[in-house]
Amino acid sequence: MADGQSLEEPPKVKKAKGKTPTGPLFTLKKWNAVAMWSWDVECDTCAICRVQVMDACLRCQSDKKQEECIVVWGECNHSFHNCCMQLWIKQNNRCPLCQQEWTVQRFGS
Amino acid sequence: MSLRPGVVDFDEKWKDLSATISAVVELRPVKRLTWNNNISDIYALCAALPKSFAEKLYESTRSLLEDSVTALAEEIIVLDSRSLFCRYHYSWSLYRQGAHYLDSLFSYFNRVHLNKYRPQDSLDYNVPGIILPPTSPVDPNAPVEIRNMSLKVWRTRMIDVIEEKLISAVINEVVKEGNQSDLGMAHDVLQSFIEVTEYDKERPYEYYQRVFEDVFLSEISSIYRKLASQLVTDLSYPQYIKEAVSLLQIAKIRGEKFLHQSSIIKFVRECEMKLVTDQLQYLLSYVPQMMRSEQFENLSNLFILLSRIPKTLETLIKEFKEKVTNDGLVCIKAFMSSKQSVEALEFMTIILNVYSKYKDIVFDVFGGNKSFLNALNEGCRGFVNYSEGHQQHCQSPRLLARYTDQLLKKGTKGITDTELEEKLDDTITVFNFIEDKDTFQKFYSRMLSRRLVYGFYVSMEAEENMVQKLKHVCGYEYTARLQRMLMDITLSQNLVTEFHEKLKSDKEKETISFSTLVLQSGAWQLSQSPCPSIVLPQELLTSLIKFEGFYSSRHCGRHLSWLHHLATGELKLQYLKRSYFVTMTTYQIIILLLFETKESLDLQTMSSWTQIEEKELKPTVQSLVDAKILISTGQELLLNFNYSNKRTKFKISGQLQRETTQDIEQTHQMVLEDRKMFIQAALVRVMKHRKILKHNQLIEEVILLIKHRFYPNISLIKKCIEALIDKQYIERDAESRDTYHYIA
Ligand SMILES: [Zn+2]
Ligand SMILES: [Zn+2]
Ligand SMILES: [Zn+2]
Repeated sequence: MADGQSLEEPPKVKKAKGKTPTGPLFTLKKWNAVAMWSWDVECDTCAICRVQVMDACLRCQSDKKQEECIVVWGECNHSFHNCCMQLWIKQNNRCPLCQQEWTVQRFGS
Repeated sequence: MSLRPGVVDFDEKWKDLSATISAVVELRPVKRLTWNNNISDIYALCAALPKSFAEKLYESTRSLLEDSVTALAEEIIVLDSRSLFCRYHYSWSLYRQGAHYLDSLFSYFNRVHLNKYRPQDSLDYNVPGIILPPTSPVDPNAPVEIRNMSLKVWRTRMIDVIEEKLISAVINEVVKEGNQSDLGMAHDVLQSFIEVTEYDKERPYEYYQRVFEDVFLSEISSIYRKLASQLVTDLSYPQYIKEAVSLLQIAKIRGEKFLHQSSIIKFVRECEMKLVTDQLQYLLSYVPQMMRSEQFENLSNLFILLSRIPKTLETLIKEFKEKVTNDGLVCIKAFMSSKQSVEALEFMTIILNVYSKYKDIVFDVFGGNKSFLNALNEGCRGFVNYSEGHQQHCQSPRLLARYTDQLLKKGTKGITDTELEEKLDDTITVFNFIEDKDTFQKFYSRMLSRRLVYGFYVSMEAEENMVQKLKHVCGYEYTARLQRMLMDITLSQNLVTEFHEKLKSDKEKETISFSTLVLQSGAWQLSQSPCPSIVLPQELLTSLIKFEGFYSSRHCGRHLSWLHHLATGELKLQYLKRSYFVTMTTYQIIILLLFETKESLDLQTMSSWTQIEEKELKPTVQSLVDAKILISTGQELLLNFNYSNKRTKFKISGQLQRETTQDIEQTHQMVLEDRKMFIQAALVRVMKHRKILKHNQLIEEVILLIKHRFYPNISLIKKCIEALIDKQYIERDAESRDTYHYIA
């Protein structure tokens, strides 16, 4: 708000004490928000390794490659650690939860 | 004078020679001319025709020396101890020099005649002018160099004869408080025992050891045994240890003055044996008492004594460790019982005071000995992990985390980087003592979460530094989440910058300056939003939606949930004489913005408009009333149009973020839950490796795996085993119930 305006305003405020002055009372200048992200999954736990998908799979944890462990969604919308699924489909190309043919819908990033 | 070999009259030459030999061994002067003539005579005798007189010359010389030394020995043996000692010393010093001169007189004999007694193979090397290493003669009675023969004569005719009296005279001299020159003389006397057999290169000290050392050591043993028992009765305990220290020091110094190198250590060991080892029980009996009453000077003396003897320090180490623990416990207990809420700084001060007091003692009293440093650490562990009751949580992990929090929080007054570094190192010192490292971790990460989210941290460098220190002690896994948190902050800052750049390039006007933290769930210990359906003002909502759009263009498959209870903003108040820029919580902003359209509001209306639940609403409104921005009429709330503040830019506090007993209990509960998982993981690891294991062995191995993280409770491990049986990871053996099988 410009200083020129505030020169005019004080008398009004004084007169209108307790009443609504003209113009907005507040201006929001800054906002520091906080958000938490998580994988957009139906089930928190990877059904293959039984570790939470937010955490790295056990293999990546022991290899200290937490950052590289991402999540993968199938067309069936079920999700797993990508590492776990890579190993799984070598044995059986079906979703461990619904037995549908496994097709990747998207990777987490 | 002719050097040509010829006929020689032995007796005639011998008459002159024997006079010179007698003079030489008594160090009487010999005329130059006589000397030269004698050398020629020796040559003549050795080279005599038809037959060399060399052997006869050798034998005659020997018997001359034998007679002379025997006569001397007879003179000496009758003397009293002191005179005998002095006279032997004097006579020996003349004789050994004489023997040396004799050798040069007989140099032709040594060089040429003795050759035929030397082993054949060494002949080649017998070049004049090069002194050969004396080889042991093949025949023990074969002639040897004149010097060695003379020394042998001294040995057999002097030392062997007066041995007993001489040795006891030497011992008399060295054990009495004699002066330096007596010790020097004793040294020479002992040296004579070695010199007279020195030519025997294979066993050079054998004679010395047999004649002197054995006798000497057994004599010393009995002298010091008597001395020790005398001192034990005559002196007080502190006097005894002090005296023993000094006796041993003196023994070493004196020993070095008179003994041969090879005997010094044996001598000192003998003294130690009598003064320390044999008195060990007596010496150790006062340890608990001295430790209790902190008689550090006495303890230091005792340490000096005991550290000489292997494996005698155990009692002292054990008592020291207990002393540290007991001292620490007294302080900790007094402190805990005097306070309602225990203050982290004071708590740390107490621990560090005890630690540094005893660390100094380790260096001042116990010579910085490594075992004592270990005992210090063990002792500290003993009191740092104290908990009031069996069921009570140990306070230390939490208080240490709190202390660290205070160091790393903004507002610690006037602390330099170096001081901070030192203090952080102090926390690591104490951290090392803590058994429940997982509890510390939980509290630490809770406090770190708050520091980072509220922006209370002094600097990211300091935070990184501390995490590195913890990682150094406990490894990667321990700090992985903490590091993740620090990384989230950096990533968020970059993300916000990119967001603003994107808006700029899209020519989108920003009404408010927006920033956000985007945290990875699971890594952070933050409470979930208590009011999930809160109604945001339009300005906030717009920014938030824009950001969500930007975020989903950056990442795939991620879901954002907003923690509005942790967010803050800056609101400009422009209805007063001056404008104010006030930093406050999002809840406070939401409440104040309601007054844009209404003059007065009651709590119910506020709640239904904002969807902030009453238990959150009340304290928020109260905080605005406390800040005098709102006025309460009892029923309703109004804006305070007379508000004024010296500052135009300031911050009002939201709800006090105090750690409640409930929070603490909740955190402990979380630790317990994590512990169960940690134990189960360890059990699976052991069983996967072992396949079949007995109960006790399984417990033992699991404890080994987890004790670096926390001190495990056996009954908790048992519960975890049951849980794994339920989950069908393992099963009991059908026959023997205390055996488990791994189910693959
Ligand atoms: Zn997985
Ligand atoms: Zn992985
Ligand atoms: Zn599926």
